[in-house]
Amino acid sequence: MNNAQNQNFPYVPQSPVVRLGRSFMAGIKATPRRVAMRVKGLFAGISSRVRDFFGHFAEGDGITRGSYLILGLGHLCRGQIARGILYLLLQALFILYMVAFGGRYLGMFLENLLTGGNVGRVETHVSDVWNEELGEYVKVAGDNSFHIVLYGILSVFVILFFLLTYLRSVREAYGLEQAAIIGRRPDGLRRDLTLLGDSKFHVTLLSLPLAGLFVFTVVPLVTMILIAFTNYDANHEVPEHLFQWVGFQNFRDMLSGGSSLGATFRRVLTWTLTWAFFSTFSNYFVGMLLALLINKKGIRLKKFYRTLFVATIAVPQFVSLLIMSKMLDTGGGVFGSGGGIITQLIENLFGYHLQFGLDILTTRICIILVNLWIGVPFSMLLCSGILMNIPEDLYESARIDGTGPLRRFMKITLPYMLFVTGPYLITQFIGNLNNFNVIFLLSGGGPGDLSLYTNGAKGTDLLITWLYKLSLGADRNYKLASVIGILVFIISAALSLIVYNRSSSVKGEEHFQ
Amino acid sequence: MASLSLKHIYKVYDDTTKAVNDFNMEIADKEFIVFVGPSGCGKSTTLRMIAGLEDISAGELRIDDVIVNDVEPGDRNIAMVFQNYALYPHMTVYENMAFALKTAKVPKDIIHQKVTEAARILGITDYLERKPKALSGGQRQRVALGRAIVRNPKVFLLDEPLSNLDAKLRAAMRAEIIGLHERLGTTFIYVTHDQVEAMTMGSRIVVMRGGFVQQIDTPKNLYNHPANLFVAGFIGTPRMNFWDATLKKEGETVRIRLDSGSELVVDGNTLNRVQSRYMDGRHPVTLGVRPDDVLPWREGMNTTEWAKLPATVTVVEALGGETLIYGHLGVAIPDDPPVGAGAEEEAGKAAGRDTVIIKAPAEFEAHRGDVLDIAVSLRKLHLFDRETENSIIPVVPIENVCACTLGNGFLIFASQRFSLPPALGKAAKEKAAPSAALTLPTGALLLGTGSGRAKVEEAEIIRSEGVTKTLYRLTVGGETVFAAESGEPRFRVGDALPFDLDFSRITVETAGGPPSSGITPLPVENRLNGRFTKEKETDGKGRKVYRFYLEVEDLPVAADEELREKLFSCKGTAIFRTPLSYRFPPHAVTVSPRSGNADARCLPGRVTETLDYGRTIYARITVGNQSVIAPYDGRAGETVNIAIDQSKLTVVDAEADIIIV
Amino acid sequence: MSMQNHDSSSKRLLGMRAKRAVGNTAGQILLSALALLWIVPLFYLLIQSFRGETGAWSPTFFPQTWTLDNYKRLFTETEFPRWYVNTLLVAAVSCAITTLFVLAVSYAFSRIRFPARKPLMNVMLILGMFPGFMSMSAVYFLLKILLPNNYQSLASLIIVYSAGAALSYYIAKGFFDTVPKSLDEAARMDGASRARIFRVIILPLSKPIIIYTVLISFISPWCDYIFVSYIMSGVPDTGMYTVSLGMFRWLEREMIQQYFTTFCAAAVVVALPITLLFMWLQKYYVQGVTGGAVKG
Repeated sequence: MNNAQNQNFPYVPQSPVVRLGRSFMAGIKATPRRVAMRVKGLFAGISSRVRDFFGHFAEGDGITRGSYLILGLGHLCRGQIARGILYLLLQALFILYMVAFGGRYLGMFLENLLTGGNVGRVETHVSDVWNEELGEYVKVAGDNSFHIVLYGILSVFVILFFLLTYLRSVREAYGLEQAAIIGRRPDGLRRDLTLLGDSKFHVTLLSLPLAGLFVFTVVPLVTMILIAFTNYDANHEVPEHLFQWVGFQNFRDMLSGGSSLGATFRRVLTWTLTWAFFSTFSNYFVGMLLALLINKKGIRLKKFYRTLFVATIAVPQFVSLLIMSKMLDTGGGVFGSGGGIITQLIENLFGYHLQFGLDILTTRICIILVNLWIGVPFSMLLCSGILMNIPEDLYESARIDGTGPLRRFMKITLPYMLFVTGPYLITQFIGNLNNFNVIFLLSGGGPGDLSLYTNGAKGTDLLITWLYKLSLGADRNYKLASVIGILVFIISAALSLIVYNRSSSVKGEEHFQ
Repeated sequence: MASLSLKHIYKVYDDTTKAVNDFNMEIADKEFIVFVGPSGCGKSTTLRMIAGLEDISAGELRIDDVIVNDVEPGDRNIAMVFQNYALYPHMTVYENMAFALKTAKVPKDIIHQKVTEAARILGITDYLERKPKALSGGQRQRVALGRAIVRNPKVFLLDEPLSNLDAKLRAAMRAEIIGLHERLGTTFIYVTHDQVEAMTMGSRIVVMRGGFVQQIDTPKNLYNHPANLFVAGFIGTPRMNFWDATLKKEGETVRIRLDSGSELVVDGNTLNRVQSRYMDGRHPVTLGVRPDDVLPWREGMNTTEWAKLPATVTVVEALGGETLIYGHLGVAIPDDPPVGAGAEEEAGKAAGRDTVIIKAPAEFEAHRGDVLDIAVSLRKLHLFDRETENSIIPVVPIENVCACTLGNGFLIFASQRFSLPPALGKAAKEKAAPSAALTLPTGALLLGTGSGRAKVEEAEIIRSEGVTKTLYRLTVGGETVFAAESGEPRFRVGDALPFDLDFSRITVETAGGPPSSGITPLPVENRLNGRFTKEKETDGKGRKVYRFYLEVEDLPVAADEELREKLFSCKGTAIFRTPLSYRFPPHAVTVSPRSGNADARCLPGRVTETLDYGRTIYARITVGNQSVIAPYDGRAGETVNIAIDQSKLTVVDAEADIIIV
Repeated sequence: MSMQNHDSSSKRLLGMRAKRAVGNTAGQILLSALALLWIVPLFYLLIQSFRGETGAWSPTFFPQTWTLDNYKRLFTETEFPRWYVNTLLVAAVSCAITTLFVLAVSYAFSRIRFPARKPLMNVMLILGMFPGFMSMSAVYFLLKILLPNNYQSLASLIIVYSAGAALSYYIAKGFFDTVPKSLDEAARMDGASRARIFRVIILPLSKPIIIYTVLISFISPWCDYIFVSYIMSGVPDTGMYTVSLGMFRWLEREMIQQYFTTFCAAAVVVALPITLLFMWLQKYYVQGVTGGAVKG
C-alpha cells in the first residue's frame, strides 16, 4: 500500500535535501569544465583579435595605418566624420587623464604591488622647517595610500576601456578601407543614430546603467578586494600613514586556528550560518502553514486576514524592528533603558526575567522569533501564490486514494513547493547571511563577551554587521572588513552555484520557436 | 503582386548546425505556396528568413527581383500572421490594425479608410473598439489577417495560423483564407504541419524534412507521384501502406513478391519507368499503396486491375461515412500490439512493414481476428528504393539502366552495336566484358542521327519553371528506353528514328570486374579551389583603383562586374578571406591556344590528354595542381588559355560547404 | 448490501462534516490568534504615539493619558519635517532613476541578442554576490572626488541608491521573458524600430513590473539605515538626515527617555503613507514577488 502510493507521485524520487546536495555537487563538479571552456574560448578570441590587429596593419593602406596612431583618422578620411571626431576626442581625453592624473597614481599603485611594501612613496611627516605662526615644524602631506589604490584601479579600468575603444576603432578603420575597396559607402551619422534606436538599441539602453554600475560598484569593489591584501587599519590610517601590501597575511590571520581573531571569526561564521538556516526555513515553513491555513476551504474572512498580514510587510523594517527591540528591552540592550512591555509581561506572567541583550543564547532565540514576525507575512504571500498553482487534480486523485491531509501535505504540497521555490530558498538564504537590519536594529550585535569575541564582534553579530562595525566603528579595521566581504562572497557564490546549476539545467532560455 | 526567388538559401546556427539546406524556389505572383513538414524541418525558419526575422546565413532572397537579404522586415513590404496571432493586447482591434500605418506616418483619414475597409472584408466591423482579450479565437484570427491586409503587402506570410483553433473553426477559416487569397490576388506563403491544410490550400506545396526540401509540387502531383518514401507517408490520410518487397520481371509481367509472403502480378507496361536493375528479384524495394486503393475483395473484381491478398484484422474504426480497417498481411495475428489510428510514420517503420490500412465502405462489417481478402489496386502502385527511399517510378526519368556488352571497340546494347569513340576505345579493346550494366541518362540519347534505330512509343511534353522538354518513350530492340530533349516534340508516336549515344555521359559497370574495365562519364562539373582577391593598380589616368580576381593556384582571372557584385552582396569583405571552390560545367569553358602574352581574363593551362568522344573532343587541362575538362581539340603538352563563362559559375564556400552564388 | 453501503457512507459523510466543522473552527481561532500576535506590536506603536506620560517605557499597555502633543512636537520642535522631505526627495529621484535603469537593462537582456549579453549577465550575477556594503568606503572616496564640496549630501545618497540599480534586473527580465516574442516580431513586421517597440508595445504591457520596481525602489530609502549612516557619519548638521537615521538616534540611550513617544508618532507618520501605498499596489507586489521566486 505504502509503496504503491509512493509510486503515485513519481516526481518525488529523492528527498529534497539529497537532491539539493546532489545539485550542489554537480554544480561544483561542472564548474572547472565550464570555466576551462570559457577560458579556452576567451584565448581563442584574443589570439584571433591579435592576429587581426597586426594583419590589418600590414594589409592596410596609409590611412588605415595612420589610424593606429591617431584614432579616428580613417573615419575622418572615409566619410564617418562624427565617429572620427568622437574617437579623436576620446584619445585626447585619455592622454589628458593619464598625464594629469592617472599616470602618477598608476605608477605608485603598480610599484610595490607584487613585491610587497609601502603603497605610495612619501609618508606624511614633520619637516625641518619651523613655522613661526603655529609654533611647530611644518607638516608635509605625504601620499594617500587609499587614493593610490582607488585611483590606480580606476586608471587600470580606464586603460582597459581605452584599449577596447582603440582596438575597435582600428578594426573599424580597416573595415572602412575594405568597404571602400568593394565600393560600399559607410554609414553616416544619421544612420548611426537611427541604428541606436533599432538594431543597436541595447547600446542606448545599457550604456548609462552600466556606467553607473562600473563607477560605483565595480571600481569600489575591486579596490576593497585589494584592501584585503594590505594592512589598512587604525594603525595605518590614511592620510597620516602609508599602508603596506601584505599578501595573504590577513586571510591567514582570519582563518588561522590558534589566534583569538580566528576563534572569533569561526564563532561569528557559525552563528551566521545557523542564523541563515533557521531564519530561512522557519520563515518558509511557518509562512507556508499560514498560507495553507488562510487558503483552507471553510475559513472565513480570507481576504481580511491576508490584507492584515500583508499590511505588516509594508511597515518599514526599521520602524517595526526598533519598536520590537524596545518591547523586548531589559535594560541591557543597545538602547537599554529597561522594561520593555514584553519583558514586563513575561515577568508578570511567568516570573521569568527575559535575558534579551544579556544572554547570548536567549538573544539569538529572540532574534529568530522576531524575525518570524517580520518575515512570515512575506513568505505567506509568496507561498499562497504558488499554492494556488498546484494542479487540483493531484489532490483529487490523492483524495480518491484515501490519503489523509497530513500525507497529502507531505506527499504533494511540500515536494511541489520545494521543487518550485528551491532557487528562491537559496536566494533567501544568501539574503539572510547579509541580513544587516534585523540584527543591527534588534540587538546591535550584542551582547558581547570579551572572552569569546575580539575585534569588536559580539554574540549575535553576523559577518555583515561585523563588517559594518569594522569599517565604521571605533575599531577601524578596513583590511579585516574586506577579508570578511570576500569570504561572504565565497559562501554566496558557492550557494549560487546550486541555483545556477538548477536553473540552467531546468529551463532553456530560448524556448521560443 | 510579387514574385519571390530563393536561391541557395541556408540557415546555419553556431557555424555547424544547418537548419535549412540549399533551399531553391521560384515563386510566381499570386501563388499560394504551402511549406509543410514535421516540426523542426526548417519550414518556419525559412518563412522567418523570408520575413526578415531571421538572418539568411547564405544565399539570395529576391522579392520582385530586388535582393532583400539585408532589408529590415518592416521595409520588405511583407505581412505576417503569427501562430498565436501576436495581437497587441493593450490596443483595440482598430489600433492593432492601424499600427503599421501609424508607424509609417500615413495620414489619419487614409488609415481610417483602410482599416474600415479591411474590417468590412473580414466581417469584424462590430469589434473594432474591443480589445483582443474580448474576442474569440476565430475573431482574433480575423484581426490578425486584417492587420496584414491593411498594409497592402506584396507577400502574405502565415505561420501555422490555424493551429490554435478547434477543428470546426479551422475548416471554416481555411475556406476563408482561400477566399481571401483569391480576393486579394497576392502571393501567399503558408506554413503548416498539417498535410490536410497543405493539400486543400496550396497551389504548390513544399515538403521539408530535416532542413532539406523533399519535393516541391502541386497537391495532385505530390499525392500521385511522391518523390520519396517520406513524402508518400507524410501526404494523405490515413497514411500510405508500405510493404517491403522485391520485383522480378517475367516476360510481359512483373512479379512483386512481398516479404510477408504474398505476391502481386502486374502488367509490365505500368512499371515501364522502373529501371531494369530493380527487376532482378533481389533488389530491396518498398511497395506503397494508399488506403483508398485497398478495398475488401468483392466477387467479380477484375484481376488485371486488382490483386487479391489475405489480411488479418486487428482494429476496426467505423467513422460513419466509411470504415477504416487496420490489419496485417497474412493470416495470423502477430504478437505486437495493434497499430491504431495514431500510427505515426516512425512507428509504422518500426512495426515491420506488413501492416495494412483499408478504407472500406461504411456498411462493411469486420472484427478483430477476421481474415479478409483484400483487393489492391494495381494501377496505383508506388515503389521506392529501400535504401535511398527515393521513388523508383519517376515522373520524369533521368536515366535508363540496361544490360549491355562491351568489347572490341563496340558497345552492344539492346542488340544494337555502337562503335566506341577513340577516347574509350582503349579501355574497351583491352578487356572485353560480356555482360555489363549501362547507365544511360535520358539526355545522352541523341535523336535524329546515328546508327541506332528506335521507335517512338509515347511522347510527353513536360513544362516546369518555364522550360519545355519532351520526353520520349522509345523501344530499342525490345527494350524500353526514355529519352529527353528540350523543346517541343520533333517526332510523333510510331515514328522510327535513328539515334546515337553521347559517350561522354554514359556509365558502364562491368559485373565483378575492376572499375577500370568499365566506362565512367566525364564529370558534369569542373571544380577549381581558389580564392577571391583584390589588387591595387593604377588606371589609365594615373588613379589608384582596385581590381578583383578569381585566383586559382595563385593565378588571377579578372572577375566580371556582375559576379563581383553578387559576391560582395552575399559575403561583404569576408569574401577575401574565404576559401572558395569554383564550379562550372565543361561547356562553360572556352579554350584557345596560347599566343604571346597571357590574357587577364584567362587562366594559363597545359593540355595533358585529349579525349575524343566522336562528336566532341575534350581536353584534360591542368592548371597548377588542379585540372579541368573542356571541349578542345588540341594535343598533349600544348599550352592554352582557359576562359570561363562567369555567368555559369557556381561559387561555393569550401570551408562551410555553402553555395554562395 | 447496497442499502448497508449507503448507510455507512452517509454516516461517514456526517462524521466528515463534523470533523470538518471542528477543523474549521480550530483554524479560525488559530488564525485570529496569529493575526492578533502580528498586529499587536504595531497597535502598541500606534497607541504609544498618543501617550501623555513621558519616558521610554510605561508599565501599562494602554497609556494613562491620551494626547496629540507628540505629533505637535514632532512637527514643530524637531527636525523631523526636514528629514521627511529629504527622504521623500531621495526616494522619488532614486526611484525614478532605478526604475529607468532596471527596465532598460532587463529589456535589453531579455529581448536583444548581442555578443556581450551572456558575459555581462554573468559578471552582474557575480557582482551581486558581494555584500553591497563592502565597497562603501571606496564609494565614499569616489563621491569625495565627484562632489568635492558636498559629498555628504542627499545627492550622494541618490547616487548610492540608484547607481547599482542595473544589478537588480533579474525579476523584470523574468517578466519580459514571459511577454511573447511574437509581439516584437509582429511589430517589426509592421515597420516599428526597437525603440518604438519598447515604448509603444512593451512598456504599456509591463505595468505590473513597472509598479513593482517603483514600489520597491521607492520604499528602500525609507528603510535603509546602513548606507545612510555611513554616508552621513560625522555630519554635524542633522538637518541632512533621512528619517531612518534621525529616528534611530532618538532611541539612543541619552535621548530615548525624552523622545520615545515622539519616535512612535514619527513612526506612524512614516509607516502610514507607505503602508497605504503598499496596500493599494499590493496586487503588483505579489505578482513581482511570486514571479521572481518561481523564476529563481
